[in-house]
Amino acid sequence: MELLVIFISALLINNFVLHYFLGICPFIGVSNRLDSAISMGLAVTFVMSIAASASWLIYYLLLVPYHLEFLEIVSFILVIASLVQVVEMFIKKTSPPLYQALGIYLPLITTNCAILGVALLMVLKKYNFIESLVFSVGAGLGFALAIVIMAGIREELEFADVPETLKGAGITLIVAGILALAFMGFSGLV
Amino acid sequence: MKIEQGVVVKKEGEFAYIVPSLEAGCEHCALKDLCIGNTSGKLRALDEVGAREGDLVEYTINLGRLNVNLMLLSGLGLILLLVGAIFGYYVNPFGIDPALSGGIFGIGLSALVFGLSKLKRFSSKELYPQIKRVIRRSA
Repeated sequence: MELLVIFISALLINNFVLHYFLGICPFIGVSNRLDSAISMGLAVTFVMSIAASASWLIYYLLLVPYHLEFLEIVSFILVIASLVQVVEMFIKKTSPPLYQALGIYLPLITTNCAILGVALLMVLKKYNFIESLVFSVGAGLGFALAIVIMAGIREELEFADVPETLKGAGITLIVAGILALAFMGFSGLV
Repeated sequence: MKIEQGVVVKKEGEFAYIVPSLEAGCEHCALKDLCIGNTSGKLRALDEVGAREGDLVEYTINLGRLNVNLMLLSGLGLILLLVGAIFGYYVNPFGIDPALSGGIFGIGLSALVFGLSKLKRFSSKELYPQIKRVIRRSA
């Protein structure tokens, strides 16, 4: 039950994009096509979960026993960047066309503050390993949900009569704001 | 299927390297130099029309298939990570710290997904952008 609460909370109530405003760059940047948004959402969820697992192990099995907790931000950044580099190297070696197509995704994942946010929050909330994993999967799927909803709306907006001055970033930010208000409705769910 | 334009800068057998013409929206993006092919701003494309260096060409990208492949890899990786972590944590076959066991099994199992990316489905030539038409020949 506790795990379900953590999952629902990260997915809907404390959604990383629409509640914490983390990961806004890929949220705006890759939400103009629905299929790209789904891919990006899943890729971020995957990297987020692996990064959270690795960060948890490094924090509790290395930093805490040696009283090096003050290095958490540096070590988490290192873990996330290294993981993305490893993923990048493997894909470059095994599937060059996919690596080429990933172009926009990889820098957006590496510089995605939501991934660092998950690692820092799981330490702050003192989650155990499994709770951290569930939290990171919930946060990643919450990111995916937000970006997919946004992509759906933006595809519809292509056919809308948007005032000239609001076209592009303007209307996108307004929609993101309304979406964040809608997600506030989930407050108090669990 | 996405249709774009670009200039051929290098030929290499049946492949050609293209520098894409950026859409107007890209000009203001801070990531524009990173997002094109990840390296040096060039795309490796399958040349179906015999383009030469300096030609302005039209090429297509099979975005749908690329996205499906990416979804398969990351979705499968995520499932394997969860299965491995839960197995390692609760079953803990080596009798070590359960969290460490969960981490090793989870990350180890999800690494299997990179073996899958060697499959033809993920490295087929059809996944590369394909040059479909020469718009303007070089002088």
